[in-house]
Amino acid sequence: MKKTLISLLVALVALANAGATGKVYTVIMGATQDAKIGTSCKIDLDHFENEVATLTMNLDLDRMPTVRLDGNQCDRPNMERALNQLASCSRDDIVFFYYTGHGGRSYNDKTQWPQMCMNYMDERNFVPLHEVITRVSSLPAHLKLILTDCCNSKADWISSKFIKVQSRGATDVSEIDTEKLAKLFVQQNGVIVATGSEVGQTSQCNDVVGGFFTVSFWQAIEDVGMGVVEPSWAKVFKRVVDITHEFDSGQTPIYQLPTEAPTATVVTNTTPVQPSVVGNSTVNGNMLTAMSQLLNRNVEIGQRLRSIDSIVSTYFANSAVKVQTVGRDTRTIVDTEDVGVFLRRLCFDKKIRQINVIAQNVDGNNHCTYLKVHEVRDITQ
Amino acid sequence: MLFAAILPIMASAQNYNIGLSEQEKEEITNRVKQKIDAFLQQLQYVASKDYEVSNEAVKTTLALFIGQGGAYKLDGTWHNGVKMQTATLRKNRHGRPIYNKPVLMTRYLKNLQGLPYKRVTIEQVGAVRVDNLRRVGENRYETMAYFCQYFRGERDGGYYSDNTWKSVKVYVERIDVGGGMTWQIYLGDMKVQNITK
Repeated sequence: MKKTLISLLVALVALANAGATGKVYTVIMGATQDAKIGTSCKIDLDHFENEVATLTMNLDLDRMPTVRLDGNQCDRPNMERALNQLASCSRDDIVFFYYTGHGGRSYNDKTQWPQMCMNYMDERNFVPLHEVITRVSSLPAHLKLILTDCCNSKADWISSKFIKVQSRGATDVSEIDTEKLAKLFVQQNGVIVATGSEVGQTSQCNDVVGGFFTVSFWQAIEDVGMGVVEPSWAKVFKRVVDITHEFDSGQTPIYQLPTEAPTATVVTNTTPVQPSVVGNSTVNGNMLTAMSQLLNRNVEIGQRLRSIDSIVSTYFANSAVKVQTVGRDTRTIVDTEDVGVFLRRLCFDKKIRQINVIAQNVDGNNHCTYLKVHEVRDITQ
Repeated sequence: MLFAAILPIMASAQNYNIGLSEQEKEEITNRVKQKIDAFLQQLQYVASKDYEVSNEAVKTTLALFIGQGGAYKLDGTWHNGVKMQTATLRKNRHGRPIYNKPVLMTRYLKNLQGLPYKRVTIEQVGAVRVDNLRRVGENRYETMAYFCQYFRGERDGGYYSDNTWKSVKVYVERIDVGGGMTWQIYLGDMKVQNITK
């Protein structure tokens, strides 16, 4: 009887875990108020948020709304609050921490990692990255990535190179090998830390591509998905270094790889992932859910089309609100439509896999007055 | 004298892709392909027997065209609206497929809604080809694109199907949309190049 009960309990636990799907937690911080590099930092944050949203979709994982700390929120108290919220993650999850802004170090710093200046002018308030590393490393998530693109100073004489993750069109995921990405993110365990430059160097950026390290990182991840680079973090960061060097900026990223062994087998989500509309924690979650329903091909199209007027009147200031679609560089305007036309297109276009909300404006009633989005498409559909 | 008059005309006709970077050309080409893809996807819904869906699809389809499918002004000249040419494999008295006279796009879509088939399938066949862009004015370009459309109409007792190769004029204009500059792309007249089984 006891044996039967124990077997049943074990089976129940296994059954519960068999359906468990990992989540992706993301905290991103950027000194967007800075007079010199603020524009570049905003590019970095938009880009990072957009790429994480697409990556999460490719990995079939659940996505916690990105916590974005920019403007006057890029400081230690907000960072502490965001890190505290990460305590709710579990072993199945992945955590991203990312900072873009000024950085520096003192002659006495014991580690190779920089201090993050954030919005502070007084160096006594700078936040050492190793504090974040200690906090994030202690989280139960199986993979933790801590990335900083700092020590930035503008270099206008550096030309931007064409890089796919900075393309000006929609993201096309039809050729992405999601199993390779899964090897990198879902099967890998441990802590990864990387920053844009070695001790004594500066990390460069410009107002075209943003931070060179950041764009190199995401291009390397894209290369894994496209089968150009093997799905190993050692190979990824070698590629990151190579791409960064192509910018000829005199910086060499440094990194620390996980020491834990990868998981041999992975519990994968067998339920097909529905196309959806996603955004960060500042975007009305109900609005995202309502717009996601327009992409749901399991719902009869007439019903979806009929819900558009209700979505517009509930979440938008009026029917003349503009929705701008931007390219993968998050800046090139690809299309500008009235919200009704945009929402109708969501119903008809079968090739849309995901819409990433990059930015929005709202009025005093919390109704959306402007939306900026990026399309992730599968052109084989 | 005549030769001297022709020379500048020939010279300006060779003025392709001026002012566009390789990245911009690729970006515009991809967006043209996307517009044509959207057009063919939406035609499927226009032909649907659910008239509510069909009417919404007509609105969305017309938004792809210059003048939103209605009258438009180009280089100082007014045009009634974008035109669509169709063809059919049903033979004329000479035994050849019939190439119909182009009609306004609004009329074409209405005709599509009223086709006497129980079920209509419209799909893109193969890849879309986009010619080099040609500069026609300050921040304005034109080009031609080519695609193949498979049509199948089913009714009790049988079906009709064909593959029609079409060309479409494409208008590209760089405009300020208040948040920055963008390339606005509109489809124009569509003509039949060839029709086969």
